[in-house]
Amino acid sequence: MTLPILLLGNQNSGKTTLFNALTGLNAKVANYPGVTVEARIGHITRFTGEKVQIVDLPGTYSLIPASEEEELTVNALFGRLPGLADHSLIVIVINCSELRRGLYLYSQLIELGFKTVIALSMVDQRSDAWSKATIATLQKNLGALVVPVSANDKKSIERLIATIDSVLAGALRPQIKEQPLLFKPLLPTLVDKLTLALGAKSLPVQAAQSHDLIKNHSVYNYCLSKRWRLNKTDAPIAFSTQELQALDHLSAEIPEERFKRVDHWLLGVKTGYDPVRAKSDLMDKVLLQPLIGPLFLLALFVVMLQSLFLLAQPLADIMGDGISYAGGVIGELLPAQSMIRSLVVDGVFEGVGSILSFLPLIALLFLFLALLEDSGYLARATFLLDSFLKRSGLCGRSLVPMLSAFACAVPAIMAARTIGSRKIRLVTILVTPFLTCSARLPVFGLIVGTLFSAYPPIFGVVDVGALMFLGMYVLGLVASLTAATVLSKILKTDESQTLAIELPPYRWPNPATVLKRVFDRIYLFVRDVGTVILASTIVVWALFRFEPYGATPSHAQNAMASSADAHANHDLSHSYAGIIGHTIEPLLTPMGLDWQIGVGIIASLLAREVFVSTMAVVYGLQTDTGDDARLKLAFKNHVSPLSGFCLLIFFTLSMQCISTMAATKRETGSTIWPLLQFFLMTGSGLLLAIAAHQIGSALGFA
Amino acid sequence: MQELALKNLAAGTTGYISRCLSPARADVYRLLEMGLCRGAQFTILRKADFLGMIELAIGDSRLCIANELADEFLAVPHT
Repeated sequence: MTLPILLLGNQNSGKTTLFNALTGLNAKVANYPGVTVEARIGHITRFTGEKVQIVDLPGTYSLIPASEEEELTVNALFGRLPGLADHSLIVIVINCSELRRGLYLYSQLIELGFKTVIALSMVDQRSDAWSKATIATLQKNLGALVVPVSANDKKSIERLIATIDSVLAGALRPQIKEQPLLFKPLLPTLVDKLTLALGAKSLPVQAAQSHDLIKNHSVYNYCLSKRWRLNKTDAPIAFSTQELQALDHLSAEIPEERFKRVDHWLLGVKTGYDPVRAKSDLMDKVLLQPLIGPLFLLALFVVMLQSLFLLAQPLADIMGDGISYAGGVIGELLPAQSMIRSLVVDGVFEGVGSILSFLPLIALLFLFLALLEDSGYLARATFLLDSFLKRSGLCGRSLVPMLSAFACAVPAIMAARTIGSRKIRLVTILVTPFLTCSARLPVFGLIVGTLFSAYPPIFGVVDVGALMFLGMYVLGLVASLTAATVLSKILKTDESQTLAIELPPYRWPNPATVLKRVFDRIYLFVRDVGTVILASTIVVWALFRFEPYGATPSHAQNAMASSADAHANHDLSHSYAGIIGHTIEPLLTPMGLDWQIGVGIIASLLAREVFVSTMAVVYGLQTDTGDDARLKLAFKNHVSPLSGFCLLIFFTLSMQCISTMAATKRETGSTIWPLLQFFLMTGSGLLLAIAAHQIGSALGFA
Repeated sequence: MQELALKNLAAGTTGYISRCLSPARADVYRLLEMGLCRGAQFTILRKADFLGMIELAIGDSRLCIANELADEFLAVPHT
């Protein structure tokens, strides 16, 4: 059996587009333990009929990883991933407009003795004469196998597969010319110290078996990439000033020497006029202009958010109606008033409905993101906003998740994957749920519409309700940026937030790549987040359904559903939900709220908007009459304006969304972070709401 | 010619990189690997507002680097 082939390349080299062209749309996303980034795995068919696995690895500029994605790539290369202990061949994708940078990575590969084939991408953007001359000179200078490819040209894909097949069969082999040793012998004592400190486990397996100098170099580079580790080791290494100077000197020398070699390879290769780059430069003159640039960015994101609201909600409603109908049909087949019917209709179908309601949002958001990323604009947005967001410990790429969070925190958290720095990504994930998502709006609507609509406009102009809404949006934003500032200081993101990005030329997005990416996101959401949502829905159903002395079929409450089956005036206080409501009442009393609001808060863990229908059930009302006047009246009788204001603050800041926590767990790969998120948000929500009530009472607003 | 920190050069300046101050820093080392090493010819295309990123043209590449990173590179501008 042939070992897997690795597909490697710089970011924006056209690697994923080539991967899709090689494998069709049958590739799947592969997760590896301990990391949240993924590689994609597909198959190509050799002429013998044998299927060979091909792995699309995250893009990297160097074998010294600078992000979690790049670390995955390097680990795959050195056989450190489960199920990927070795590989037969590396196909390195080099963008023909970025030859120098692509060949830098190639030089690292051949130093370590990896068998490689070069796929020269995007040649269709250059003239035929240029391509032919470049390829011929490169082949001659490198002694490597160079295949020009274009995802739209099937023949070029077939040529690449034929070359891969010949190399695997041993019929074709790269004639790599012997390379002069680049690096002066390193200080032996220095290397010994580093090797000792890192331990044998840290050594790349293949590097350890290769030439001494390369081995030493790898150790040294590894130390550079993990420099922080040197300070945390049990036996700290004491570097002399001389040794540190030597380290610094060598650090600058190694890339310089490599680029000299690359320049030697490029002798006689004419880079020539790049029409795509020339057009991009012209567009950047407008889109990165200090005034027009930010305005265009703002307009683009407003359109994106509006589209999310306008397109996703009707689709989510259709899906919700469909699942309710299906639940109703299935429910008819089950015994009326039975527990199994309630479980299936109100538990399972409600959970599936929750999952499906997210899909349009996720699909649309990731469609927009993929379009922005593939077109090259996302990198420009980072350029424009980096300095602003950096003040709060975030970076330019945090903008997309933060804006998306105004629609829904779940896809927003998933969108944080575009952030290279692990720590900044974590901070972004932790703080985005502070921003006011659309699910909070029905709750705000109930509270503001009930308690503040009768107040006269301030100065005869400013509506109190509108001011409350705006205030809660501002509160969420301020809380988010404040939390980001504090967390970034605790997590010490400063070292990694000073970033560098490449601006790729503007391109038309490749439809297959974009759609595949959207499909992958949906698949991952359903697989990793959907299952948690479903399980949580059933747990919450059980909390409302059962009481300590068994099931309560006679007063089964359905606080989550449309309440067609819900019976008014049933006493929830004996159910587990009611008991929890009573238990948390001491936390709510300082806000002037009672256990009934507590029950609403528990139900809203599924989705915040569920609070409204739950309160109708708690107050013994039907919610599907289309008349919410009775609900508003009951709410007004139970909640004072000051307590309502505190409840607004609580809902703005607290974490009441299991789906968001599930997404955080999935993206961080840990249960600690969603728990921290819960305590951070809910704690701050409680404290601020209680403080507001105490101050309000002292000022006579109670 | 006088060496100046990259961050102190105005948009439109062309020159070459003469030195890097902390090459062992992981983020600086990455820039060296992206081609910003000694002798690299560059043009500063634009600088974002509020001490934001600096966009450089190095050959056909367009590289944006954070302002504080640009402080780590010394350059000699062409007259």
